[in-house]
Amino acid sequence: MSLWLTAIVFIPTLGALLLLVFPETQGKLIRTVTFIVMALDFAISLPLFFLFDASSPNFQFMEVYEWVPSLGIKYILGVDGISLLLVLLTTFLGPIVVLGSTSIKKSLRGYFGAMLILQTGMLGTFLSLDLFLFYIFWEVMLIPMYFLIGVWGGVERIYAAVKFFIYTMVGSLLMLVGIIWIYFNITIPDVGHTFDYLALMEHTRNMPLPVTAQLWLFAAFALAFAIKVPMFPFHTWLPDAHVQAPTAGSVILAGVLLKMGTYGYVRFAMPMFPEGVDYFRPLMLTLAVIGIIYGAMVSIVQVDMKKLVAYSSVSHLGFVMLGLFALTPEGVTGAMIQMINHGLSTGALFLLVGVVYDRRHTRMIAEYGGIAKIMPWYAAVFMLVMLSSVGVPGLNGFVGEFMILIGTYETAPLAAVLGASGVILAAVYLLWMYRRVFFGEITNPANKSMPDLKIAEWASLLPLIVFIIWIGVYPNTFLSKMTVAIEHFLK
Amino acid sequence: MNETLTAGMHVGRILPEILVVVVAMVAILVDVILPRGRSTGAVRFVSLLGLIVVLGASFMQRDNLGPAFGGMVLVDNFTLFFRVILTFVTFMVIFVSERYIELLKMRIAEYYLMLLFALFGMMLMVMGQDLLIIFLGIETMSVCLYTLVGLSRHKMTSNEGALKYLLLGAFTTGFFIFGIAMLYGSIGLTEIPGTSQHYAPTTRIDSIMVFFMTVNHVPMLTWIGVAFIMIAFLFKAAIVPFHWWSPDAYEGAPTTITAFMSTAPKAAAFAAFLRVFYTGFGTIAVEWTQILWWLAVITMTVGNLMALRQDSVKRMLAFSSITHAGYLLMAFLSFRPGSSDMNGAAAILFYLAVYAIMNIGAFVLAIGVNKDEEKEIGYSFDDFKGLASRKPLPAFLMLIFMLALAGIPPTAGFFGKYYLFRSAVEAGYVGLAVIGVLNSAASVYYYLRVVVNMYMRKEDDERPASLGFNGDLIPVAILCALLILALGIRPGMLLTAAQVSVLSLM
Repeated sequence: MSLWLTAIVFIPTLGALLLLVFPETQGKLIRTVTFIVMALDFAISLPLFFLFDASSPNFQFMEVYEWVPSLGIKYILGVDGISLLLVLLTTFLGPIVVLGSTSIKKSLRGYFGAMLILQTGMLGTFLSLDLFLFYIFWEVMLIPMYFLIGVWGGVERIYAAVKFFIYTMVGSLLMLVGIIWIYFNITIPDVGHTFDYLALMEHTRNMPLPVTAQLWLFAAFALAFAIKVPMFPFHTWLPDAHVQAPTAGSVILAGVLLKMGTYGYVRFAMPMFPEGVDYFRPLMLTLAVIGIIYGAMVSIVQVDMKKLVAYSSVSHLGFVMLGLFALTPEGVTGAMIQMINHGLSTGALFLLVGVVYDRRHTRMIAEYGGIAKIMPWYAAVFMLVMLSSVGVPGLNGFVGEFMILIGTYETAPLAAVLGASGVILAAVYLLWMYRRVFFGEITNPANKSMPDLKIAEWASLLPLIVFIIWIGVYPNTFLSKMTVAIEHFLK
Repeated sequence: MNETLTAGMHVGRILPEILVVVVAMVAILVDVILPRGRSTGAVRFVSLLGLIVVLGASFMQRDNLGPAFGGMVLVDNFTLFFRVILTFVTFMVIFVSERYIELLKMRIAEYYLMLLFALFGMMLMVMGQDLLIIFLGIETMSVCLYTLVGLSRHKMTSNEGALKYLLLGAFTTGFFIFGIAMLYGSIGLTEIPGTSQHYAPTTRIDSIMVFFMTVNHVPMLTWIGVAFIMIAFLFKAAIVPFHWWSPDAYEGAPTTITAFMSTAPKAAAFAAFLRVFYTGFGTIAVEWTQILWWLAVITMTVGNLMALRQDSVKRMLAFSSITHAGYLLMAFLSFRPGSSDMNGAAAILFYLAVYAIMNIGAFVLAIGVNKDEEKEIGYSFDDFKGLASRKPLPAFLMLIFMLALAGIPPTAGFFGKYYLFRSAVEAGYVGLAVIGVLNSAASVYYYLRVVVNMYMRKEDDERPASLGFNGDLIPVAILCALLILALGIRPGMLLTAAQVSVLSLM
């Protein structure tokens, strides 16, 4: 049994410990070391993509160890077609967010340490196949994110950080009760009680849980995940957290953290409690559609660019939920690829907003205008990323949204029709914002001296752009990895 | 039963208890010999050394189990578990006290002596095999605590707390001894089924167990006795609505004593509670679960609501200790007579140990941060502002304790709480577990308040801390923090110890 996945998960933590060696004054060195650790982690995770056997629905590179035997807790890691791309997205965004953190000046060691530990928490969550271990990673993630928002965030950072923490905590603790209930109410012959996800899945396939139990459990799990996604009406923590978080925090939040919620549905809530899915499907579809339209409508009226992008996340994640609960191969595949797309596009949008914020320390749309003339390259990159977020054919956003809508139309035509209006609204809020910021006369003299993109900014944006175009033009590279896993999921 | 009556003294088995008393006696002598005012350092040294010997003796005698003292006490794994925890806590508290009592101008050797005698009382409580021994233990402990609470004589809160504790404690004593009397009397009045003989009146736990197992119809008087004894225990464990003494006593007491009271006596009270109810009254367990269910809910919620609105970290920790007692009560409920599954009790033991470690750590750091030791209450949340930039290490340690108290992984606090919730769900109390986790989520708010002040706010009050962190506070805090992290990642050892210990109760 190899320790490959364990290495991927814990290298960032080791990196965080390593940072303790360097004195606080060596800011540049600390940043470099963090970058190297993140890049190393990405380099180590990359071969997963090539060595992964996409024709098998099984978990691969499994690691199974006893952890607390007397309570039936094991340490199980494994990757399948559903988690593979999310793991890679996480490690891929790692070095990028380090590059995007140039404006951070305050206690760098703590900042990068928190970021590295967060990386461990996120990777662990995607890779855990023991419910208890999953829960541990899920909770561990909270602490560094709480600090990233609360210490390095904006003016209202403390309110946002505490809100973020308590919202997530309420949901996840109820899920914990659900996990414990599963543990005691499923007895597997020869094994007894266990948190082992695979054993539990195997068992419930033959002997499903009673229907009422499934409904309650689905509700407990779905609430925890819905808060994380976030689905309407549990989304109110998101704009606060996003707006107050530093740029890198927003990128991680949008890029990876929100995917935890949708991943939770695909991995746990939906396959484990099929009766719950049946029962709650109309509600989930409704909430997804409301999220799409409501998020988009609220985005239109935002005066703050970052808040606009934050609300657009509510709308985009609504698409992902719509695709998942369509329960068709196209819908689920679209949802899966849309998770990646959203990570890339919205991550890039937050980085881009951060670029002008670093120069002018404001994100108000009204403060800008006509900056396409001053920063042509910036305007071009922004245009590309924005179009990908809108869902223009040839870029990644189109692939995901199109598949989701097709998939949803088969089983829930009304939801698909209503959801499609979200695409139009996305064009409205993004293009309108773009026009106000980049075109027209330069109304604000303070903007005249803004330099165009710097090398570090290019370095953090270019990799994202590459994949935005790649997925748009030839998504099959990535889709092929998940097809079998999704077929398996839909059974 | 006759064997245990003639079991003899078995000095080896109760050696640690004897040693505690000997250490206390030696400490008294040291205090008398050395000039007044300069003896405390030496007394502290003797006490610490003595407690190490006590721990050593407990370790040496770990396989020498069985009844002792004519069967009045029982040394089993359960006793060993608590003996170690109680001694450890007392050691920690004595270790950090010297400079603190100097600051409070109560530098008298009796401070240490009272702690040692309280330790002896608690040890009797956990090993008592007869209700009267447990009663003696409770009284020995309580008398010492009444004194310790009122030790800062120039503070009104200290006097008030001590008086309240004493008066309400006296009521408890009344309840307990009256309960024992009724039990004793009623057992003697009951006929052995199928014969015309009567049971021999008794206060021994094992005999009471036999009585409840054989008797068909439990007389009313016995019920009242059991209820009175239960009330006394709930009182000592500060369960709502018997908690009224605790906020005042905790607030008024010198903070080292608050740290002590919220950990060791609470652990001892739960230990005796477990032993008496699981072993002695085990067969009639079903009868009291309904009441305890409600008490657990009320205790968690009231403690939380009160803790939420405090402005003093000391009071916040005091109220939150009521909440934690509620969590413990939740697991207490999971007992099923005749079942071999003792996870509920094991969870209580595990949590008591973890709670002791993290709470001591939190109080110790609060002592170092506090800027208003001369005030009646002090310990304002504001004192923690900007601590992370001023003193990174204490801030980080406090962060660990706050996360542990809030029950967030990867700390032992999470594991302990998980184990409690788990036993509640296992016993079928899913609703109770849900109320428990919601309370737990609410408690995050006030623990995070400390973290927010330490890491996210700037210091606005430039006065220096009353005591500061020079010397003995930091080593204890570091040790506690390391234990909390180690037990959070590898809980196995303590878990096994707890699980083995509770087997003695069956």
